[in-house]
Amino acid sequence: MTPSSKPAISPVDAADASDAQFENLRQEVRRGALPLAVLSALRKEFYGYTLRQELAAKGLEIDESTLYPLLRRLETHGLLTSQWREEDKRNKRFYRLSPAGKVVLKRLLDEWRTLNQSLNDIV
Amino acid sequence: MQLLERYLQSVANFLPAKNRKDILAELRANLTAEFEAHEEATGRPLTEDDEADILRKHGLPMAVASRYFPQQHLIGPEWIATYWFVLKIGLAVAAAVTLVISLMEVALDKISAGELVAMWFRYPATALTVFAWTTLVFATGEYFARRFHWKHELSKFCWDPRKLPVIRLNGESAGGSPKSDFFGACIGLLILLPMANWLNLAPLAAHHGVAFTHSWRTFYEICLFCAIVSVVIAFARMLRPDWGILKPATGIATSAILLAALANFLRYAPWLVPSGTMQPAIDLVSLNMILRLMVRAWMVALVVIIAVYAWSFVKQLRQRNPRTGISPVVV
Repeated sequence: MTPSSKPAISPVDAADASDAQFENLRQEVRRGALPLAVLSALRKEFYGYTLRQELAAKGLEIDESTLYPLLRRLETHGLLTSQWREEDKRNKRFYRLSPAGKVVLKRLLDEWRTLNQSLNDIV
Repeated sequence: MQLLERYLQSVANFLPAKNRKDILAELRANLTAEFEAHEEATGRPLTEDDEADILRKHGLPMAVASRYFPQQHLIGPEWIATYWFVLKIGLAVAAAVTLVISLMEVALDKISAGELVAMWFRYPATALTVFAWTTLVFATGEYFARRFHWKHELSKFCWDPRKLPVIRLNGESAGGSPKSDFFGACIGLLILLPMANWLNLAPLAAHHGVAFTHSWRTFYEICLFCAIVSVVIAFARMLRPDWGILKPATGIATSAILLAALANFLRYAPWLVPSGTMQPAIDLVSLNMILRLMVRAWMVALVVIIAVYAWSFVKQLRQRNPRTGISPVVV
């Protein structure tokens, strides 16, 4: 028995725990960046599905169940405006950055660049 | 498309009522667009399996719906530590009150062992009530803080780090430094010393025809002994503050001695008797009964005090550094 008397963790369990920890941390890192990406993309008008495709095309895959509620939340906070409009014979809700959203986006981008610079210096 | 409608119906069951229609319309539009994009990519109409795959990736209806609710918690991170602290205190106080009441009832021969057990079986219900009220109060505070944006202001609440409690060594109670303990023990001894004369008792006997029995003398001497021990130990702790374990150890010993002395004292009733031939001016039967009650209440209090000291003693033994024997400083 080791002095700590804790049972040894098998390598498989350790790898699983490590994967789970990585996944949690990855989600946390992404969680902060998603609103920034969405606000930036919505300088142009999109509806939910096409916005998701646009972000995916640029390497940022977002689950539908994360993106669509996020759009509504940003709109509730006054950072986006939306409009129901017909396109290809179907009604779709189009989102775009609001004037307040533009101001917030500018500040967020400044913050992001500073943070990015600091992180680059650190890592 | 039938799967899509069934899916949307399931999501609708869990959506907030206020925006349900709007959210469903938007979800339908987005999922339909996704179906069409898939058809375009594969060059054929969607099969039921394709639809099922897309919907499965979209997520469990309940989970999807839950994301449309505002992020909620009953008690947020700013208050959770205070909440736990208050809850623990509340549960401990409820347990202490139950303990004291049950011991009082036993001491007064009011309840049987079965009733005592039944009393403790009611503790979970009391604890649940404490939990419910504490949670309700904090959750209400949290709700209003969030609604009126107080939280930000509260975090800036004016406080002075210089007014924080001083660092305590293990064994010191929150209210007692070795110096104040020594001061308290001296006061106790100073109060006890003049009582030696009272027990000889001339004034009371002469004026009211009442005398103290000899059992008072024995009891008084034991109290005096405990008071002197407390003064000596408190003085030792002033010289060696790291001997924190002395306080609970002495507390247990002196309380146990007092408890035994009180139990012995109880056996020698009555404690107040008529003095000489003079008729007592006061009702000695009632007075002796009041004394009996007071002694029993004191015994109950001592049992609680011993339990508290024992807890502190065990805690300090467990925290003691095995190499140096010195308890770590609690910050």
